[in-house]
Amino acid sequence: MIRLRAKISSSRGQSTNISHKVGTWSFSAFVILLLTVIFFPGLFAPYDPLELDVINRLQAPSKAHLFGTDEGGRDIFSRVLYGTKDSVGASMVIVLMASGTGTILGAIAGWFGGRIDFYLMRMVDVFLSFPYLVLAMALAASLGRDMRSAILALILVWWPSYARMVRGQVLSIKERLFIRAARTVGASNFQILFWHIIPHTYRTVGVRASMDVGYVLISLTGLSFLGLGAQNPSPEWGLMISNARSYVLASWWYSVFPGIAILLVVSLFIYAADRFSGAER
Amino acid sequence: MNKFKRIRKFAQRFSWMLLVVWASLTLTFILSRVIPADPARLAAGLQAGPEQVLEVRKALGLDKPLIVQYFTYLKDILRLDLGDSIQTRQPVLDDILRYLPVTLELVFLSFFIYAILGVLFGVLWARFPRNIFSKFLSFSSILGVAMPVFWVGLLLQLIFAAKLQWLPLAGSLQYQDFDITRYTGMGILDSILSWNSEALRAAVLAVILPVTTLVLSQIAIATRLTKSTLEVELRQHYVRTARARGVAEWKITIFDALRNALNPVVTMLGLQFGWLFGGTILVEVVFSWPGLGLYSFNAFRTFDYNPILAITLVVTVTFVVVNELVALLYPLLDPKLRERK
Repeated sequence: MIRLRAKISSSRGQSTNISHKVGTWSFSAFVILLLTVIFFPGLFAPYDPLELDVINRLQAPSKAHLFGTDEGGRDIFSRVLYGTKDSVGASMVIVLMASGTGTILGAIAGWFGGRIDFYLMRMVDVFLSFPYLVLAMALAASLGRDMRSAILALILVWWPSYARMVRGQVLSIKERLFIRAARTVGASNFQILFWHIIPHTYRTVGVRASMDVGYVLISLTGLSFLGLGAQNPSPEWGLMISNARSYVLASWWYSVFPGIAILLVVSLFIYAADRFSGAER
Repeated sequence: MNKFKRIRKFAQRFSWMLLVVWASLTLTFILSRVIPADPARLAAGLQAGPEQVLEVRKALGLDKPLIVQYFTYLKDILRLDLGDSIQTRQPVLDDILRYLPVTLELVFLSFFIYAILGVLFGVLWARFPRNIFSKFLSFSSILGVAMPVFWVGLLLQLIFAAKLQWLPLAGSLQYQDFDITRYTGMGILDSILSWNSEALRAAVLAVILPVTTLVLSQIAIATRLTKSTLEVELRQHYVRTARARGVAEWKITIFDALRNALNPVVTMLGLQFGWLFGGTILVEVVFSWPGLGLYSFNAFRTFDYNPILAITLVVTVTFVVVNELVALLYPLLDPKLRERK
């Protein structure tokens, strides 16, 4: 009985392992595809995303225009592809910057403790006490309405949660034996922090970052939708949906396709994070 | 002794709240007056000539040193003097009091609907994980999180207003069409108070799409969290004991497990309530719902100075206060926290 059970559980373990591997591979393939689209949209896009062709304005999806055309006659399919850079690329940059800053500050707070820890964490608490959309809107409004200020605003909004998470981890890593060993051998604070502690946080930070690319994308497109991020004629997805509002009654394709792009990218990132965190357990 | 400790704890919480509010005040000040190269220029608008900019600079007190500006700013806020809006040419406080209930109607309705449905779905999912309905939930909960709220709103408009023409495309109840008095500013409540069934019908129809949008965008989070915490609770020993004693399964789930699983759910619902407040901006813009969100959207878009400050302040204070109130709820939900202190 016991042996049978062990067998079942081991075979199940294997199968999840395989499907986990498949999941990881397909996720990597998806990210590589995304990066290719971000850097070389011209490889896939049939049209120029900015070229006006007013005679063909607001055409329904057809063979010539897969996703139809917008009010300037521009091909929506090409615009969605070119918009990947401004939407997904920018979200990745935001998450990279926010998780980097958060990880370093959180590790410093956890490692040194004392007064540094106290002040850093109070700062984090204050930042986390703000509703993020309002803070981002206020920042974007005061820095000027363009992509750069939206990106900066979202980095400022997102780093504190990483700092808190990493600090918690560092507090427990700090007590482990290999840190004491490094100490004994004479490693400096800096060396221990960057070579021994921070690499141990990569995994949880990575899972979190993968999920956050999705959430940041939603916030970023939201800011652009409100006119506080990308500006016309950029093919950013949120901005496209914002432009499509005026044509919602007659041209369904205009608002639907950029939204599907957002939905697809966000759900894949969240799904991947779900899988990774499940594999860790 | 115990009483003294409780008072001290309360004082601590309260001073923390004050600190956050002060920080938000300072941050808005920095954002609006220190970071922009020339705030008067922004406030006056792009078309303004040099004389107009000078005038605005004088009127807003921007010609004084920053530290003086900072203290007059704090003093004005303490006196609840939030200045005038350039757009509506009215005191900002009046504007906010006028638009707030219109937003609250959306926020309250959607909050109650998704809190109840979210917990219910979460319970069903945790209790019957292999059910088809649960499979559907696990799929749609990822979709629900992944859909941007403004897009959901547009889709609903597309389907129910443009194609099927069942519901109005945008806007809230038009008071002048039904000749009813504005008691509260909440359409449904006002039409009930004026005893006007036609108006009530219009008010309900107008509210359906925006509330559905907010519910759809929020419910997945509540459902997933309820499910995952309840799942853990259902594996505990006390659940097994209760089962062994022959207690009905639904009683165990609701009265024992759910009660213990509720704590993180309540925290999250509190956070979401604060989020709803900011998130309604997007929904109100999509549905041209004349509440605080649309008002602030217009203010942010035109850089209407005083409303931006006031809105950031109001939203932040509400957010902080709601979170603190939620924190006060914990001991009621969890007796263990009452003991510790």
